[in-house]
Amino acid sequence: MSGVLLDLIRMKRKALDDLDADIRDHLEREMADNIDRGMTPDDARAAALKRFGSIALAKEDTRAVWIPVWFDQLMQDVRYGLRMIRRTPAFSAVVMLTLALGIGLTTAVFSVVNAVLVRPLSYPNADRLVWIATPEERSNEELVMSPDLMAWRDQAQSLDRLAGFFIGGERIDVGDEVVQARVVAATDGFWDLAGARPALGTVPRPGEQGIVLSHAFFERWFRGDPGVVGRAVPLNGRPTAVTGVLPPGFRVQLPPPPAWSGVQSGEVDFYRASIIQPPGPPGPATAVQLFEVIGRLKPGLSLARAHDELDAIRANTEKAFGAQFRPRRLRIVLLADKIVGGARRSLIVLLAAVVLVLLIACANVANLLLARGSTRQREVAIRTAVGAGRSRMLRQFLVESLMLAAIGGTAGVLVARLALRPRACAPRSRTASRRNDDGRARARVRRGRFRRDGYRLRSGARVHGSEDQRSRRVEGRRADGIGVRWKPARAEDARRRGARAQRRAARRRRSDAAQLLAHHRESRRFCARACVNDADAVLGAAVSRKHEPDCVRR
Amino acid sequence: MSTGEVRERIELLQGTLDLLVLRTLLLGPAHGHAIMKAIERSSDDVLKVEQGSLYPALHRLIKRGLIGFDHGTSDNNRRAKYYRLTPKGRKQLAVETSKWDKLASAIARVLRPVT
Repeated sequence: MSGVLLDLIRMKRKALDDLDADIRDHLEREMADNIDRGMTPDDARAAALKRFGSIALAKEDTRAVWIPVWFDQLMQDVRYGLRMIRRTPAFSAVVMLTLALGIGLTTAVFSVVNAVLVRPLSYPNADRLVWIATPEERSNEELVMSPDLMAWRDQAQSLDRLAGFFIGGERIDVGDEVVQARVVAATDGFWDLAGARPALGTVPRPGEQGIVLSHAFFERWFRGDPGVVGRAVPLNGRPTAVTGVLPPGFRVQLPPPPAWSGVQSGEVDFYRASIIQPPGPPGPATAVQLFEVIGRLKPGLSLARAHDELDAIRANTEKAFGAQFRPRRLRIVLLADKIVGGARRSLIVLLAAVVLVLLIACANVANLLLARGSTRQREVAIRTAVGAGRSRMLRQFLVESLMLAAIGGTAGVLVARLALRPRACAPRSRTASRRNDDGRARARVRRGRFRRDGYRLRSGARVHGSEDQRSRRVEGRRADGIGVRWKPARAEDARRRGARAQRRAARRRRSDAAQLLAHHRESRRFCARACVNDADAVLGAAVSRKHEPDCVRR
Repeated sequence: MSTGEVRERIELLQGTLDLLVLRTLLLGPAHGHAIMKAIERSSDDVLKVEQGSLYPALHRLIKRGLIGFDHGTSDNNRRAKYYRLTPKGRKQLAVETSKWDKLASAIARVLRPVT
């Protein structure tokens, strides 16, 4: 097809090439004939021209054989439009800039709205996915304790899948170095819920440990070597088998990790199986695991029904554990709503605002074009006088405006891309050599955070020191996610509540400040580094003495 | 030429110019002016053809592949484009001619029915 078209174009060029010469030759021959018949040269010329008819028309008709008239005229208009843009650079720049900004902003905001509000989550059956949590009264900790999770998993009829997970930072030995990675530790149901189908290998079998790498992590740290599947890799110092690698496009969409966990939201480096440990016997210090929980409703079931059922099961568990449990309430929402959260309304407001801006931009451009149109009446008059029809004029102006709009629109898309460009982030994973420098420092900074947030947790559970401490002190009993120790409720707790609420408010204010501080973590780390030199000794001593090193506050 | 002004001339039917050009080129390659002259002469100057309309017709035929062209020098040593019939054009001429004959005789029968 394109070959035929090319042939045609080549033929056209060859045929049209010397049309002028052809016509001139024709006229000269006719003139010569006329002179032979005895005319004067002037008469002969006039007669020849008369016999030939309109030269311009003949040429136009001949061109029209090869090139569709509308295309020819369109090209004329485009060329003229370009000349107009060059002739009035300031005007054109203003129009294009106005359009670029209007279109760019709208495109950028709509892209976000589309991704967040319009498109469903990238999970199979995303509309049935729910977020389940059992926060305490007047608390926002959206976690579920393992006894509840196990009871639901075994008894709930309204859910066809249930999974607990926890996002945390863990150290994995990739062969020649140890990398701090962002990890989702998830129970069996997670793979199916998230639609994780590894590109290499499989997901861990139920009840077995195993690591599933994200594709990016696999490429970066294992150099894309498929031999890693099936190999045991030291994870937090314990060899764990890599069972699979996820396909490149796989991403989970989860709510951001809770602030107190010290983990920032971002891409997940790998996933590992998390096994729910049965809780110890009810007593003054029962160890339980805490999870974030997602589940999938059975088709056609309402949230309310699921809520009732889960709540009933939870009440039974609570009874079994007696006084250890503080009053908790069950919260179950669609996962999409949980992730989008309060962003929906502000996004819609934002979208409306930028659409308004776009409308204003359009009105401005229309005004500018109208103003210019009125200064071009002379041109219009001349064009009409030489035979341009109404539709032809209309087309010319339309093409000019379209060109301005096309350039402005292209610039607008560029603006949108700029606006949506992900901000450059510092690398999350650190190599061992750098960790010697700041890894410990960070461990301490984080402990500070844990301690601060520990109060918040203590209303139900007490955090047992930082990860480092835990792995040393409660080795073998180290729970998934966060190890906690259950503290039985005491009567005096109730008396403390008022004071506690006040402290909580203060802490919330401080944690806002802490978030700000997190952005300056680099500089903070720098400060911390000053005391790293003697930190080893201090840390070791501090851990064994079960109190926090003062170093952090120094 | 002067006689042409007096004699009544007939406008060419739409599309017949192509047929006449093909027929003229059957005699051999010719340049534009020669084709025009041949058509006028062989119709005894009855057909009134605006010479300018020859060129669109020629290009239409080139596009359909019925004629081709070469650059040559004419009798008085001038460069000119010589149009010639292609084999496809020859075939097309036969088809068009028989079509025309049928049309002409049919119209004639209608206009002068044999009683």
